Amino acid sequence: MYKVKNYKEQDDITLIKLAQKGDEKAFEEIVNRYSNRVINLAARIMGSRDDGWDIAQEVFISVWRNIKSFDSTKNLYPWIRKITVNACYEELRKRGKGLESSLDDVEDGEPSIDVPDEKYSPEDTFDKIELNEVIEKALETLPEHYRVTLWLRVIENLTYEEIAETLNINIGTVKSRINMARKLMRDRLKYYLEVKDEPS
Amino acid sequence: MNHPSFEDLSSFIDKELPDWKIREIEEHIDICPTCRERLEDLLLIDQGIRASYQEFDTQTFTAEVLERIRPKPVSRYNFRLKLATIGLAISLIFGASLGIVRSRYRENLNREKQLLISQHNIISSGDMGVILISDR
Repeated sequence: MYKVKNYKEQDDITLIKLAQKGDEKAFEEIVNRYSNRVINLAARIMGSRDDGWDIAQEVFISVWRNIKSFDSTKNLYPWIRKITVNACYEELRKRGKGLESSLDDVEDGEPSIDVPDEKYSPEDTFDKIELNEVIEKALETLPEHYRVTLWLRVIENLTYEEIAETLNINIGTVKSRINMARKLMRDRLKYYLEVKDEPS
Repeated sequence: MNHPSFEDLSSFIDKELPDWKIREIEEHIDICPTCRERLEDLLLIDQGIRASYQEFDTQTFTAEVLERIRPKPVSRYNFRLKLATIGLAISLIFGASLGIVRSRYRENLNREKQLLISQHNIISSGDMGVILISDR
């Protein structure tokens, strides 16, 4: 094994190959490179930063254990992202929370799930907190499968096809979920969106 | 064109529409303030979602992950302590066994001694018949 001086400068393929040979430093760089995205994604799916942190750790341990079987010609992050999504859904299933994703079928129309909006009250919060916090709070109150799909689109910048592949659903469902997520967001932010357009 | 649907506007900002449709919506937005406002609202929501992306302490995170993947080193102290405990246990068992054997040996020896003394006393007193009876 040849010695690498600066792991930060190495591309993913080199890091994967080194990690496959047991190079811990290479793996460390992989963790450094992607941990923030993984924690954010896991936290968003789980609805808690602490859970996101814990799941992300399990994800990277799983990556380390399985890195030898990973095809180094493929992109690394989509694989890690897939592991993250699966780990989160597995955890939600264990806790009995993840069933809504498999049960929903919004492809052909409106979802039957009625979303209570108790946590977020724009009238109460508008004057107190900033726009981004209001939006984040609204995002947190979305059902998990809408939240995740929208997150993958907006933050991870995935195409509908890539989202479908990541979540093991079809493109029609992805499109429906994103539309519904945005509709719910818009409805919950209606007060703010109307106010912002009024002349001050 | 008519006002684009909410779904079309959503797909428009995601660039998930055919080119001709995108052009059509772009042209419509230029002349329709209502749809432009609806589009701006959606873009504002996306912007807020992006802003909710957080920076975590990845150094601590990485250190914790590395700690968990490294095999736990075998502590020399623990190994020595275990060895000493086993040695002590063996010594105790051996010592106790030896003590029991010795005390039994002494008991037997004393019994033999007492027997010999009593036989000697009988012989000295000249009563050989008692010895024969007691031997049986």
